[in-house]
Amino acid sequence: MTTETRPGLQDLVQGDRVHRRVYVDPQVFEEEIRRIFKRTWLFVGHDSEVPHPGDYKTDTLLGQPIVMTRDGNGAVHVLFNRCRHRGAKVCNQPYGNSSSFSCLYHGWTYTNAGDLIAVPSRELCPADFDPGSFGLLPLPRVESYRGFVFASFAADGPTLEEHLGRVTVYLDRLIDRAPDGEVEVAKPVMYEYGGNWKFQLENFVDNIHARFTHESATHARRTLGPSMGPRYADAPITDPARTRPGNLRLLGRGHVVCDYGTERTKIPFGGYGFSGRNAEYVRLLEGRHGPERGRLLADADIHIVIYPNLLLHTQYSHYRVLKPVAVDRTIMQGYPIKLKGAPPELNDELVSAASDHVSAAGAVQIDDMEAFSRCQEGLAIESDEWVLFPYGFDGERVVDENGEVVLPQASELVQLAQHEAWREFMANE
Amino acid sequence: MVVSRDLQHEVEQFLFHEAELLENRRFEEWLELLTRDVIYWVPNIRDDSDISDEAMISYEGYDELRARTVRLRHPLNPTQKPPPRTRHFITNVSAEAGEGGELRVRCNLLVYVSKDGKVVHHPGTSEYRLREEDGSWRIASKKVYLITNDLPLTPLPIM
Repeated sequence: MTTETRPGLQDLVQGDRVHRRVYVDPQVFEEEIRRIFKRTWLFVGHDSEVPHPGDYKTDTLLGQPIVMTRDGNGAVHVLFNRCRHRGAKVCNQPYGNSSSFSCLYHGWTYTNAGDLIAVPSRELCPADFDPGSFGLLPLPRVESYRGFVFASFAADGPTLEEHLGRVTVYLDRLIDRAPDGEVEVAKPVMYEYGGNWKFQLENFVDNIHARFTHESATHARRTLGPSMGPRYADAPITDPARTRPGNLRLLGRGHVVCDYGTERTKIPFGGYGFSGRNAEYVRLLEGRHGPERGRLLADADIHIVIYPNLLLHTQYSHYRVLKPVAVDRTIMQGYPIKLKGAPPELNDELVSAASDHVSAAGAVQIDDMEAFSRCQEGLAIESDEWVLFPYGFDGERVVDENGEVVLPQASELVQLAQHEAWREFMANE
Repeated sequence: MVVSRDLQHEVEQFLFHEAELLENRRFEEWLELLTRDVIYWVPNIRDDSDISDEAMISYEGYDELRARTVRLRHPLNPTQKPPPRTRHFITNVSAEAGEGGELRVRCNLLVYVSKDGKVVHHPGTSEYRLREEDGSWRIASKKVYLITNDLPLTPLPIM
């Protein structure tokens, strides 16, 4: 065994650096699945994906088939999609509506709440065979927050409320942007990249990379945007030299937020969903929340990371669900977020903007995917062991009255906070 | 209503020319094949996508496509260093008269993309509306149904 001469898992994150094995070692990946993903809360879906009784969607969670259903009473379930008899997936459609699921193999039939209601030729089974104990297995824990459904593979652990902590303040802001106080999601685009899952988490709150990675997209917007209308309106690249505590916030357990405030809304041609774009929308929000909070919500420009698998974005209204497939392969789903009660044309714009932002044929995310796969390739080199996060390491950090750690906008302490959460999860066998 | 053999030939030559422009990165010339009100649409997940209910792989008008060509040309575009090499295979071409003198064209499409040592392919069907402008056919709409649009995609070129 060579492992004795290698640093332990918790030693792979040190100060301003992270060991390359964190990104490239398949054994580390296996331990991440076990110690992080199977212990904590994972985002599963939004209840607007199953709006009506009988609606369902199938998906996978850590490679395991699941089905999210809404039963006849309106309750949402997250069930393992596996016949209790011989193991076949009982539902093979991505979306649909059905009061029951019948297994293709021997006809065992379950309600959409998971109860086993039919076993053909049951008289051939032993007399004490009890269908009541062979319903579709639910995920050990399922809870939701304002329509966002989470599940955990672990029967014990922090509640969802404890897990989310202060991140709900920002999730509320995202949801309250809907004049009716609820969001709904459109069906997602899916894409994959040849890189480790953590690259996407780091990148989502990286305020330094855009002027290099996304320069071609920014150039197209800058040169064509004002004449092309809102679709190509975008914020100017923020100044990476900014060092005063600003918009990056560490919320604990790996959750982080980048709150741009209204600084990106002041540009002449505006951005998506900002107050200047749709007067009717602002009127609706102000009517519900008053002028001050109404305007704050209309202009909200935040990126939220809910560790470890959910990323939310208000400006290009969407969230991304991250699926770690292998140490060097990650699948992403990008769901446009629609604001219930907002003018339909605004929601159409948001769906379009979200698609353009995240699609594999779009304007922005593909640049990041290129960066992720190149990092993965570069980190194959064994003789250069450490990945560095020096920006802002010595910079100012302020703890605000709510206990949130506030950082300058160009700080890699925000990535290090994710790795610190990683280290804490991984230290616990 | 099937079109004449001459028109069928003309349509096929048009599609082959379009593919050649894309394969050879002659994007500005490709833009000239488009009407100003063009819609280039790659729907997502299902074939009957409703654009307000589903994210779209692509849904671009002329201005967005022009912006895309600006991005593709930019020396700092990381996805184009080196540029992917693509080949478009077009078969099963059918054409019929559409509304207002337009042609409705349908073909099967298989695009191969080679980049960074990996080859991926994107099979599907394209539906076009072609409109005659200034004596030439122009693309008024192009809708590409990928049979892989329910799978996780890797970066997609102009199809």
